[in-house]
Amino acid sequence: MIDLFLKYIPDSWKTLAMRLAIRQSILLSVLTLVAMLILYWLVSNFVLVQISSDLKYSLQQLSQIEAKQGASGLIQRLDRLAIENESRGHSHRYYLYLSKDDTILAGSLRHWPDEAKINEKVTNILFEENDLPKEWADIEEGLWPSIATEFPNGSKLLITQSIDTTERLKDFTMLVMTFLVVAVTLISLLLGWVQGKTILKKIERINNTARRVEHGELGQRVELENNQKTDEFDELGIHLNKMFDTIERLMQDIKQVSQNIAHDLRKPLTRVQAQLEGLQAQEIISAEDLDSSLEDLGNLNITFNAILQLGRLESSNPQKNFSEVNLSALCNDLISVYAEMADEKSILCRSSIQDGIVIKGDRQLLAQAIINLLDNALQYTPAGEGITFSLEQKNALVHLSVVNTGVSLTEFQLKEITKPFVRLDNARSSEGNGLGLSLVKAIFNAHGTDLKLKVSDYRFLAEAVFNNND
Amino acid sequence: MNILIVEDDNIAATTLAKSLQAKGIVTQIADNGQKALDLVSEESFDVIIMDRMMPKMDGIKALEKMRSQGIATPILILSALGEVDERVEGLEAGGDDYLVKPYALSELIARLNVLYKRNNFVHESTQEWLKGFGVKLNTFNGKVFRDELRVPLQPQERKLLEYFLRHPNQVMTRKMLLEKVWDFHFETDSNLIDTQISRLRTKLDKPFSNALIHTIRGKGYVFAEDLSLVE
Repeated sequence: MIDLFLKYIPDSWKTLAMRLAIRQSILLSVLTLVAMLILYWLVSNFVLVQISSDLKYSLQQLSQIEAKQGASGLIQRLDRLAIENESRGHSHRYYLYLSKDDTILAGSLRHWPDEAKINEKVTNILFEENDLPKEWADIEEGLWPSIATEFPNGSKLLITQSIDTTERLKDFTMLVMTFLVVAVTLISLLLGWVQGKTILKKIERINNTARRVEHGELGQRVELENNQKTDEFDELGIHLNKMFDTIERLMQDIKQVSQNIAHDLRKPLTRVQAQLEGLQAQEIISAEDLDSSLEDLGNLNITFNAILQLGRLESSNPQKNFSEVNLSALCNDLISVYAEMADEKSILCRSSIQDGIVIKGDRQLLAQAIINLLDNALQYTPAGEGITFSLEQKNALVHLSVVNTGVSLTEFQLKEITKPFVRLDNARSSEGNGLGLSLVKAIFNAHGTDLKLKVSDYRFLAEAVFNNND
Repeated sequence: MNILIVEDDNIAATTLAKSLQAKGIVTQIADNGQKALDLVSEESFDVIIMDRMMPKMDGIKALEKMRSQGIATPILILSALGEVDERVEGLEAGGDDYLVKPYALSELIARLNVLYKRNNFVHESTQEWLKGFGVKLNTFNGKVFRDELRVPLQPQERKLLEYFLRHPNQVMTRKMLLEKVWDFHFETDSNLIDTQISRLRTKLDKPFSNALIHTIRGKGYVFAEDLSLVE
């Protein structure tokens, strides 16, 4: 049944935005209905309370007349009241004054109703057509508030009032209520529909872009409305656009890296192939003939391992192998050897290593990163200049830095050199596979920090700050 | 040397066997862990080269079974799985050395020699003095003497010398030294070991008439008095 119903609902109505709008409209209608019902109840009650109070007051007045002027005074007053009553178009009040022996002395009611209790309290009594004066027989029957009393001489007085005004008020309130509820329902449905459509339009804009990006149009961006006031959808659009920028950049990087890998691997592979083909033509091959090919293959192997390691570092969770690493001891050991290497190249290697710095990490990875940084510094520092290595802990932060001279790079080049296979010489003829700094960056990233590079005044600074708080 | 090659890649296994045979090493091939277990129970080998990923029974399981059966033959795990935890898993299962594929033949042979020698001369790791070719090293206080003359060494140099003293006349590759002296298990182009060797030479060889630390081109280094004795 529900399925059949759902079949005929337009698709746009099944969207979350429309469902929310309809839900909101129903909620608003129900709230209006409840508010109206409360108002209706309050209005009816207020009128009835008012009538009760009037009846009590009237009974009190008439009792005083009876006490002061006796039965005749009361009869006169009731007759006058009957005339007044006739002149009123609504809210007729009826009286019945009976003597001790139940003879009607005054009043227009035809019977003393059985339910009427002499307790000077207002009670609702059912008045039927034959209880009422004949001349006003068109007055609606009903439960009318009534009050009755008995005087010392045994006579009884009953006062009641028709509730036609109250009924009319109630009818009117009911009408207004129905109208309001219907109006609120329709208006809120309309507003909900408009609101839903507006939201859908905004979402559709984002969906369209996402769909096109999904189909490979990486350059697509969410169109943003050109006004100052940005809403949540614009914010979502901004975030998505940033995400698409990152994806596009990463894809370009991958493309660039793939091309670089292809270039870097093809060169030695071609060389090996040429060498082997050359050897194939020879009748006698010596072990030395193979040296060059084996060296090329060895280097290819190193490059492959580095690519694999980089991939693993970026995709897996190296923290699972983390343990306490005495960084001071590791740096001291390495620097003692690197100072000698620097010395051989007439480079001055200064170091300042604070003792006892222990961090959580992977010793293998950290050693590899420090070795790569030091190798890099050694490679680019000209003879006669210097390298400064420093390791120190300030509060919970461990600063590791390598500074060397002899490098001048632009800001763009600084960003580029941590990308895999990027080498700043276009000929790609320098030593190494161009993965060194990418590996360092990936290793530091795995240790919750980043490789910061800076060049100023011919000095190249590579730094990482480890948080030793964990 | 009699070696069992446990390897499911037939071409890799026969190529390796041929290369080893050319060096005078006797080889047998098992193409899975189960066959290796059967062979090991029938005859004894000097060293076993064990691949990890194989059908029927993988290398780690075969290794564990061999150890549980009391077979103490040195085992070198030769695998494409080279992550730190994979290496640890192999060594904890009872492997004596771990080499990641692809590898250089010279690297493998150097490691096989070390394992073979270790099996033949069990060094007392707790012995106080390590001695060789007039060099002695006190393993307790780290003092080093050559021909009774004190040679002051830094801790890393001492580690290097200790390793040489434990494996005289055996070629050590840079990779092996990096693993043993520095406990570094990664590929690096760094001249770390070469610089350390050169420093050790300056202190240990230079003041004396004959050199003990020799470079074997394309292979590594050797601690020897007479190079003709080097395998």
